[in-house]
Amino acid sequence: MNRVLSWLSQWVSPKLFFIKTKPLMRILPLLTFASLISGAIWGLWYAPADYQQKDAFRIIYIHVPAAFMSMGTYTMMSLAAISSFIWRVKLADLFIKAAAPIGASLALLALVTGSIWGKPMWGTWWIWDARLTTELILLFIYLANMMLRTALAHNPAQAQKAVAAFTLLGFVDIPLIHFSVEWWQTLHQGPTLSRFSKPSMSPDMLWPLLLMIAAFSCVVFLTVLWRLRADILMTEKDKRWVREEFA
Amino acid sequence: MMTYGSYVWTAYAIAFAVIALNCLRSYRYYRKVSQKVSSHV
Repeated sequence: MNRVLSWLSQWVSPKLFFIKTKPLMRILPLLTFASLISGAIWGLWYAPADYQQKDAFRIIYIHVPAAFMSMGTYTMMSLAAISSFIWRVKLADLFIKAAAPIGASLALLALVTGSIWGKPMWGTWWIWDARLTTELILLFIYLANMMLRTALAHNPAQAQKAVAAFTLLGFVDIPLIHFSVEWWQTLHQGPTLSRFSKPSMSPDMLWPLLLMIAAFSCVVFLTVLWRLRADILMTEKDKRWVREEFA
Repeated sequence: MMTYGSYVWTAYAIAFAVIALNCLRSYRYYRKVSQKVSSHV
């Protein structure tokens, strides 16, 4: 138990988190670039075209990872919100601050690429379908989250509490997005990745999709880590360990 | 020749632009803050 607690403590201490993630910042940019380029090449040229949608289906390799990570980022923010709200963990609040703009941009990207895919397949750029509407609500939740922090910038303690509570409330939308295609009749296709034992895609199409999801995860971790490390430096700039880092 | 090529290329161009912008903005933010902090200490 003590070993678990000491392992966890290194991830809630800004100093230890900053030092422990330092080596990652050398590997992660390379890994992100390599996985994005290879995933895009695989998806665009080597994956077979769909028999009904032809090449338009290749949009899946950016649309699904963007949607998946917009939900994944919000789920991580919600987990951080629990520690921020209950235990007042400063690092968790900084994580929510760093992740919100990245998650918002991915939600927007999922909506835009979905719209571009929808035009040739459904004959319309937009429809008030359950999946599209709940993803749009997620974008608004991200934006409201950032606006709330800005509005309460004069009182950081109140901002931390309010943002954590709002993040937890907003989590309601995540299962709604996921199950929207099962609970309601929608134009949107059913889940592609919910059953790994029996996926609804051929492996030739599935592997590049999994690679692109890994690539988008790297993008999220890289960008959030840059922002989070910067915010740690800002809040801890008067501490001795920061002076030693820059000595 | 790719069918629906203009839709596919547009979607990929937007996706890579958003990713590049996110990376660039986050990296610049980190650089700006670390330069500010190093001049402060």
